[in-house]
Amino acid sequence: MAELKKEQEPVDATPNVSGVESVDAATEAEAVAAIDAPVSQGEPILQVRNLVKHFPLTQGILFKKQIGAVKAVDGISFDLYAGETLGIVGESGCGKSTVAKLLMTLERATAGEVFYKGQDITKLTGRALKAVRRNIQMVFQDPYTSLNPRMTVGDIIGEPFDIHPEVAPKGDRRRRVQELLDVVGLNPEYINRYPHQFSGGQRQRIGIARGLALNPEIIICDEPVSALDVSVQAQVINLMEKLQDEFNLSYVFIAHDLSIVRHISDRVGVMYLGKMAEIGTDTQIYDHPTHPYTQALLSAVPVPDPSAREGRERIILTGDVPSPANPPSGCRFRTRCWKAEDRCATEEPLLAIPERFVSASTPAAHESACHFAEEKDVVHAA
Amino acid sequence: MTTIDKTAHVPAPRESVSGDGPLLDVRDLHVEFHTRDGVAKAVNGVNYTVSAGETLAVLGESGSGKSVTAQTIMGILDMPPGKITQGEILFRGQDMLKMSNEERRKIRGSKIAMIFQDALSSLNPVLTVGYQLGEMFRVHQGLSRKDAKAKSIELMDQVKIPAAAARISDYPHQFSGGMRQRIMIAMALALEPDLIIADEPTTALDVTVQAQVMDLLAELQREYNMGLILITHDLGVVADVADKIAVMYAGRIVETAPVGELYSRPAHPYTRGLLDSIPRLDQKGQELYAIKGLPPNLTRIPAGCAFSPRCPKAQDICRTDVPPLAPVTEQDGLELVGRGSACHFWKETIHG
Repeated sequence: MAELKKEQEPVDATPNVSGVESVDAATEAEAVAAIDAPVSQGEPILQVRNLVKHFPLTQGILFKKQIGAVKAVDGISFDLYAGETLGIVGESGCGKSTVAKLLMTLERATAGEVFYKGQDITKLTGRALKAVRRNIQMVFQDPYTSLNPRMTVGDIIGEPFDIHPEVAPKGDRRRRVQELLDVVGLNPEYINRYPHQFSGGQRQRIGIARGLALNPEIIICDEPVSALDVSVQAQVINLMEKLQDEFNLSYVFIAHDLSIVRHISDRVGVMYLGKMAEIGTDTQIYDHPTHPYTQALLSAVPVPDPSAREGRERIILTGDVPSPANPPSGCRFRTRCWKAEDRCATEEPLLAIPERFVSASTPAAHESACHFAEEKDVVHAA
Repeated sequence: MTTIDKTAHVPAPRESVSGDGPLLDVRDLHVEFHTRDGVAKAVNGVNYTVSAGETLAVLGESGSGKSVTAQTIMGILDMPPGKITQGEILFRGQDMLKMSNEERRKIRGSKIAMIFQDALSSLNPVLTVGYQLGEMFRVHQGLSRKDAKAKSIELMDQVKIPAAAARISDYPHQFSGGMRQRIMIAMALALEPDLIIADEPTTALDVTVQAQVMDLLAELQREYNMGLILITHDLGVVADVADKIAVMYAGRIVETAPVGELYSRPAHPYTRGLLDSIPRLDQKGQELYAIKGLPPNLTRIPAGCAFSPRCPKAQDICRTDVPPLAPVTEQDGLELVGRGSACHFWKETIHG
């Protein structure tokens, strides 16, 4: 189903592909109008195409010259559909958080496009960019450092209204903030308290309330529960699912905890060293993984069930993730892969449905970037 | 390069070797902190034992007192503000709390060693790892620099750091997270201690690296027949390596059980809640069960059972009487070895 949609994707239909600098007021207004238009359920709301972000490595103080680049994100493509949750998993340093920043346009992409309702947000400026930013919000990982300790909860949640005053008129803001507190399950009377008066789970709720303030369509969650205790994690996850139904939100859920990602996601993408290794629905990825990295990652997850550990196959990878400044040639996973052959060093595998599965209607027929893709169940006990 | 093995990593069931009692016996330990907001009772009567070759997992959320207990055993608790008000810590039958500082120093490192959570902040950034590893040998065994260096290289080999001889003069920041944790493990192992306390050893690591480090730890433990106290909040890690589990809540042990038993039949509502609140990797669940409320403030622990305000089964008695850690039995009264639950209603919890 995902494939069909991709073929019809209207890449050329973008109104302002060329020359952002010369965007006149008319096209900008057009862009804003397009951004504010609603998207129906199941349509792609965000289309990422060959997104690249390289951070330059420089040498010298006065005469800086570039000696290389950290290839944090190196050509990834995916779609986010309205109302769904796309999970992105991977080890630290694989570029997950950089993807989040690129989607938020907190970082400018080196190359590639991010289409939000047909507008390439990597090239937008001015009013149109502001409109996009209102519709894409973020929830951060660490609820202890992402809230300003000198601001009250009311100021923190109300701050987005200062930048986008059209969402809530001045006199109405306090009521809106209290409403938001209520929505995330906090007492609206806490509006004048400071962040240090709250526990970790409550702080994350404040962060979520801030993310919701501008009625966004997409929320990017970068490790939203990894700093929380197990019993509190479940509360926050349940809240996020409830809010998704209530406000018809689309989530990009970035995390390293594979069990939580499975729980919340409709589709999952697995990243390795700046590339997407495999992407598919949660069942396709977790029950029918075809990429060796996904298999290794899944098999390494400790399962809280001692009876299951006997029957599970464990693939223990050796070594560490190579440096993104100097990634291996060909397939980036080949240095740690047990299937690697000469071909892997020379020919880069593309993210596509593996040939052997193309015509078959099995759950293994999903996009996987491996020359030797092969289905293997590593999650369930044999 | 990569090893695929079925169950080969799973530690074989260990037998307790020493006939004369456990290695470590913590009895009725109480620790409190005097703060501006009042007295925080971090540990309120903890009892546990560890034998040689055995792995005890201490499971709990932040603020449950699991790390404070470990620091007290290790003798590295900050005093003040910390204060041990009651209890004994017997190491091979001797109460460590009654020892002089000099005696404790001799035990620390050579008999009991600790692995910390954050390897980057536990290692000294301005000294080479070789120097820091060698320090153990120079200080405790009086070896020369040259001999200490040779020993350090040997240790780094043992924890499977590639090209150990070449990397001995590197600084901590030149190693990756997993490698740094290996260096921490090497340091703890240096003097072949009888007991290792690992405080969240893999929390900061990625799952693939976590699996490597836990395997290494289990392998070395088997090799040296050490006792291991594994402190963690991760129910998954515990299931893989522990022999027995102690679940802590608000400074008390609320349930003890052999590892398999705890997961299949929890006897305390808190344990059950924890198990129900984690999503599963192998199946997609419905809405997660969430324990309502928050862990208590340690300066104001609720009367009676500390879990009662969050407990779905709480009755009046729970709010007045502190439940003791009672032995858990089968329905017909048959004793279940090593099981205990601090709940007035453990029978209902375990048997339906």
